[in-house]
Amino acid sequence: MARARDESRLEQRRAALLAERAKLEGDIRDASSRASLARVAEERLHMQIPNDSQVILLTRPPR
Amino acid sequence: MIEPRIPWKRAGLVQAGFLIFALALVGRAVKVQLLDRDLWRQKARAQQMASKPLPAPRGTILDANGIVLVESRQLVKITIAPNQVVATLRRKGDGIERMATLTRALALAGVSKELIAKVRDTSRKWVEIPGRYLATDVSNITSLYGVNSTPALERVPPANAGLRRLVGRADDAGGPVDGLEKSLDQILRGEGGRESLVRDARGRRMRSPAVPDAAPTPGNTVVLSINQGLQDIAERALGEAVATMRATGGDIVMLDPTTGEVRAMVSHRADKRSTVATALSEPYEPGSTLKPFAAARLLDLGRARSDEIINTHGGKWELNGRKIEDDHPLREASLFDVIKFSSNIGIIQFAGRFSRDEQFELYRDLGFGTPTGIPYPVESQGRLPVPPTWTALTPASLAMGYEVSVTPMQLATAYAAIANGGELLEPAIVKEIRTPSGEVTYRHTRRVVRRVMTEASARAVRGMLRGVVEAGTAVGSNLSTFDVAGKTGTSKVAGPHGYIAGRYTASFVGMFPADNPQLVILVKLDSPTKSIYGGRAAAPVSKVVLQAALAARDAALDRRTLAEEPSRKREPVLTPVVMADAKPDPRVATIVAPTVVETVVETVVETAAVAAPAPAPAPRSEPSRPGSVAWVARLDEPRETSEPVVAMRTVPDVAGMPVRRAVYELHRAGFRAALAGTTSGGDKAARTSPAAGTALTTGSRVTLERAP
Repeated sequence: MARARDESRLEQRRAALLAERAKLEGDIRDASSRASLARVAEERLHMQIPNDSQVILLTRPPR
Repeated sequence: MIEPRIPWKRAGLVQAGFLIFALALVGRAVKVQLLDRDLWRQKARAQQMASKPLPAPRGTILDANGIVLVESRQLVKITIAPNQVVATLRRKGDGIERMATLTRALALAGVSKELIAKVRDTSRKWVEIPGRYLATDVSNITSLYGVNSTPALERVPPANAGLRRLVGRADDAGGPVDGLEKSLDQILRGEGGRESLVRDARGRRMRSPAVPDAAPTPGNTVVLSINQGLQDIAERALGEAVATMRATGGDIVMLDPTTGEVRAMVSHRADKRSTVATALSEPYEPGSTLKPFAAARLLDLGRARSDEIINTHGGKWELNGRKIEDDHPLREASLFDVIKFSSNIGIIQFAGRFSRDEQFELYRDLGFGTPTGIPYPVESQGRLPVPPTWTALTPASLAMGYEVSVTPMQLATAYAAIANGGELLEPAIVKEIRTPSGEVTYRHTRRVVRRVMTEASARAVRGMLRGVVEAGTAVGSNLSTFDVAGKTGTSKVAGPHGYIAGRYTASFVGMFPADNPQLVILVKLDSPTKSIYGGRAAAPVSKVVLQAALAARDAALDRRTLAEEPSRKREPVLTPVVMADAKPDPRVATIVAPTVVETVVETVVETAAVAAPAPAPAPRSEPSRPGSVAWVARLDEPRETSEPVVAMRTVPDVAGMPVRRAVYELHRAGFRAALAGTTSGGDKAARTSPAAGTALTTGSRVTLERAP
């Protein structure tokens, strides 16, 4: 019974930690998403999305 | 003396009774211990053991790049027994102190005062705290005596509002409510398991170490074709456009015309009760965005040529008692210009070359009036009336994009056919399905529904649509480095009692880049009030989206192909120096550039800009300077357009217009305007030379005379 009690407690603890990890990973995803970063970049860093003429696409020359 | 009679019969009966009883006991014991052993063992175990159903987490939904959009998380629900919390037990400590700790923690967690008051009411046996919490966040509460936590799964919706509409919702019990969650429920739903519990002497349950659990099987993982980066870009652009244009809502659909995969789908509605993906569920009359399809079919049937000129009656015409007007009045126009300037009069006359059945088949072939097949529960099929129900005006209405309703998805799919060379593809939102072990059970493959136009016609129509963006009604969508093709639409909004005065749908359907399109983008704004025109309200949104997509790393664009795209307006593409014995290539100019790549690019751009106008044969090799590497700038192929760059136009009638407006109209028509004489004269234009209605090549000089 004591073993069962310990296992049960540890299993609950494991499930809680896994859930917390999933939550934190979700938070990281949200924070690093374009929707979040673009707003921060514009408001705090006064950055702006370049227009197409300011974007230069490079082609990698064949080796 | 009489001997007493022995009641031997009675004694025998008693003895026999005992014997039978003993035999029955033995028999019962044999039955219980031997024959029914398993049954009774199970019953005994059932008293000590219990099992609890384990819910299965629904499958995860990912975007095309593997980013998690929707997932299930295990949280806990909290229930409180107030009478237990306040109970002062020897081993559990002071109940009053425990209750104070609990109420403080609940207040910090944002639980309402009313609910905290219920918790403090010790006459209550049970209070359930609403919501679900991370177990680690509430461990200080759940460790208290009298507080119980129950595991519960929660479906975490996507952060993006447009995606929420598409993906839909699942309820607390894990059942689907709407959206893809509902239509893909059989795939996303997992298989529940059971947890084995054992009871201790006090009846408390805990997980049994001896009996294995039947673990739940999570649902399958669904990978959507959606690109989250592009989705975010479209979401933001649409939100800003709706606010700026003071519209009641709007939709953006972006799809890959080569595969039919939907890259982004955004819907915005002022009505907060709207929760569905309206790009799939709400059809609308597309207006002028339907005109290119009639042009393509006419070309296919050989009943019109791109440069065939017809009389467009100066922009005002009457057909069967119905007045038809053009926003860009022309006396006559080619089919190319009919599309470019979105002439209603022109397209009605061209479409008059169809029989009714042919015109119906045109729109039916494009998939109008039929669901696209995207697994969405409330997808609308739109409306396409069959010829027997048509009135005398229906053919003209259809040619202008009225009397037919399409969803944004249907129209974007039809435009994808123009973009990919004429094949109508089945649009796809699900890219892949994987089992929990990672095995791929479904992968989307390109599926052609039917060919709706020839490659030549598709190319010709793309040329017309390029003209629309370059100098027609959609200049607001033009990019400075890439050609974009597209068509604008401005249509009245139909209500239950006819068209609603003052309400319009402004739309634009574009393809990027114009050659070898990688994206079809449809922008629709509902009832914009700042500007009602598709070219002014919707087309600039497309430009904003495409610019942001070009600047983003993960926006579903093939940059390598784009860098080599012949329709790029920026000229150079770097290639190494050609071999010394290679044949001269007139498109190759040699330059010497430093080893730093960034500097090379700048240098090449500058050099190419000079070299581009006269791509004369150039030396094929150049001695390298120390510390430098030789590169050549390969100039683009001449643009291949099926339509002549110099087109025939008619001089517009600008008499009576303010001079400024007249000059604007002449420029818009493709002519170079010059004012006659000096600055003296009135503010109105009197006439032009050559006169209005004269056919001239674009770029010709037209002199404008002021009224006295």
